[in-house]
Amino acid sequence: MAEIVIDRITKDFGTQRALDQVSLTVADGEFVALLGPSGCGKTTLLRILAGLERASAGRVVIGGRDLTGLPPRERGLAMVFQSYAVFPHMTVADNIAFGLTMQRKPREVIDRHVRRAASLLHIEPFLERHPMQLSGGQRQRVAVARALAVEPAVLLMDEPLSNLDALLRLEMRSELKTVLREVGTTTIYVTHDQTEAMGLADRIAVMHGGGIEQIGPPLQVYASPATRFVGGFIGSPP
Amino acid sequence: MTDRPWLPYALVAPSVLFLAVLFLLPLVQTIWLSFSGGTGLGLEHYRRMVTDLNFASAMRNTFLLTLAVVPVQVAFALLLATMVQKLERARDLVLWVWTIPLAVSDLAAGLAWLAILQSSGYLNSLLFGLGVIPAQTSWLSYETPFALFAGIAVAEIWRATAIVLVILVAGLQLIPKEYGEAAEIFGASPWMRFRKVTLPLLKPSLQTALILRTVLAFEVFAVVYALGGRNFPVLVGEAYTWQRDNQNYNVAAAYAVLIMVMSLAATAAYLRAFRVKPDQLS
Amino acid sequence: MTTSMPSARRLLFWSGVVASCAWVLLPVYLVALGAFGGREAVFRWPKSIWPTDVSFQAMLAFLQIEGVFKAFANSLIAAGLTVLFSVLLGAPAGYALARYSFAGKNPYRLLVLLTRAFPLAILALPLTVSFIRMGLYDTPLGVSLIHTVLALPFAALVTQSLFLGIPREYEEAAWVFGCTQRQAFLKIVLPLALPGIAATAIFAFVISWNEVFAASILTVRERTLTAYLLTVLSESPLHYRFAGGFLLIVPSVLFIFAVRKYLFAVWGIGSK
Repeated sequence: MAEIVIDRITKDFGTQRALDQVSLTVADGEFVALLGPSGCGKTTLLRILAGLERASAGRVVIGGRDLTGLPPRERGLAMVFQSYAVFPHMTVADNIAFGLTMQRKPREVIDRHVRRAASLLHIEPFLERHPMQLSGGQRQRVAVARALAVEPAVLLMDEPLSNLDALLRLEMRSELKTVLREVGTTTIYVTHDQTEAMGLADRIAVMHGGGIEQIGPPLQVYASPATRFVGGFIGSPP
Repeated sequence: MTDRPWLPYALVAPSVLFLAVLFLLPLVQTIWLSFSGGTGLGLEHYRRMVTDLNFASAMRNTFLLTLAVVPVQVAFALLLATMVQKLERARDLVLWVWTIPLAVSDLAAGLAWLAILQSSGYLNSLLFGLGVIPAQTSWLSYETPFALFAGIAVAEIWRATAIVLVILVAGLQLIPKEYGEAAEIFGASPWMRFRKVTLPLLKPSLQTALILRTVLAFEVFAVVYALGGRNFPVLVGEAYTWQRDNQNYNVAAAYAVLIMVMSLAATAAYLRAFRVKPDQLS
Repeated sequence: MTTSMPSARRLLFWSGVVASCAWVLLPVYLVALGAFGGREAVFRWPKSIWPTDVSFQAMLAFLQIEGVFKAFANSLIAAGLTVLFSVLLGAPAGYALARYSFAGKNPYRLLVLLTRAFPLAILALPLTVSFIRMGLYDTPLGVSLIHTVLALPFAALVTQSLFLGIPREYEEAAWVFGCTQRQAFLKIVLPLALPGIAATAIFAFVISWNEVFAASILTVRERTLTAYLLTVLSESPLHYRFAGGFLLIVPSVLFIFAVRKYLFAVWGIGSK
């Protein structure tokens, strides 16, 4: 079970409050988008889930396990970074295998997972290449493959498509949707692009100023905005 | 991963410890050595230093050399830096050639110019071949102080221009070329563009280069030693002699403190002269 | 191509470039000539600028002089130790400066820059006494300690910009996918930083190899090459001095050539 319970998470950077008592429950297998303008706290929340930031208050519970205070490597999560963070000095195959290698899985298991992830993302021809020989879009696929290969309980994605050009972004969006649907992992997806959120998510959490203004299925958030902010942010009101 | 707040301190501590023991401590010791004598603290070593035969010429020589060499180097480096800006394909190669002197020890530089300037050296061979001189002429001897000075100055210019060059090239790179292009569109000639746009924007780099080069010039040693031996006293050379030959650590320390004070004074002077007003930056 | 200049200007420009290159290369060439020209060439008058009697004899003879080979070895040891110390002390500091903000960060940078403002080698004077007491006098180790003071600031500041150039996200990704902080550093950061650290090491080597004053003050029997050459300057035959000069120049120039792109980047000079 990979149900996520975010329980009153607060984060202060000095005197600045980035997250204020944020609570959210994500069901197992659900795809939730954190949508909002820059500075609303969505990336901070994601990083707290990953263990890259420590919350000032509150708890994170995944699959019944209280993760608060655990380092990233012990959380059973995987993450796709905005800049991909694909290791330039390793081959694509070694990159995808990285998480499994760190878990010291046997060679055949690793190879199997790598091949599966690579075929899901259509990057089998690149397995022996180095990331610097690939285009941005291809590198992005490597990042996603690396995350999927470890079969995480939860998949975290930090604006993974925002560095791609418009056409590629649309293409990848539909591909991502297919792949993630097939894999079925609980996913939290940060973006500032509402069409992306609308197209991919089961539920959208609209964030603003360190809190969640509204959360619900895309059409509901679009058609019945709970606050003025949400109304102004989603869709293009007259 | 912010759960080990002591980590940065632990990483930095060894180098701090090292510098404290091998830099700060000797620094304090040098100052103390220069003042401490048989009867407690006093100025006797300074008096000894100042009344020494060679002191006046060492001071004069060091100053004159600095005065002669630094402006020439800055002007030369400025010229070279602007030339480098214009190069395209050959740029890396030319830049490497021009910075070769940086890799050369000052002693080796002195020896190189010794080969050129000595009585049976290449300069004389050239002049003889051109018919300018009848026979070997000595440039580096005690009897020809001006020639000796000129020879040392030339060797220093050869050796240390690269230091200034590197700083200026880096500084030039930071100047957006739009400024120059805008000036060009408004009808400014290349020289005017240089004076009104490039030079002012280069002030921080010029300041750094001047400070560094001047401080290093006060410390000139091996080049002088190679070319002139003891015919051309300089401050560091005197400190060396007092320490090694006369075994007088205290007077040597006095020289060290003197050079230190001169360097600090020069640095302060440059900082004041080149004070960049904040509103002038971009 | 510098197409924006009229051809007379272009000629002047290029002659300037070539002349400046010749100006730099000539003395180095002449030292090499002197080193390999043999006894006769050195005392020949007038001197020819072309390599006449090239002989390795003189160089070999020079290397066989008692003391020369030892001096060469001492320089090598001192420089090697300097590299070791400055990298071991400087790289962690550089990493801390790059990745963390901490109280004392600015004072530390100030201390490091301060070492540049003082006549460093002159600090060798008081250290003579301490070294004698500690048994470090007249050893390559003692010399390397002073040289490390020269090279350490460079190492720290250069590795700082080096690590700044390696995105933090690489480490974060490594943490997410199973690494401890140390594992992430060893598996991800270090391999990427290695070329830059190698360049820093080489520059530290060259700084130590070339240093004259401190080495001369701190050694008597176990002299480094620079100290040796300085002390026998007035006594040795001319062609031996050139051989020594050549030995001094060659390793440094070769090394700096090998890492020039890196050093240029470090000094802030981008490549076109």
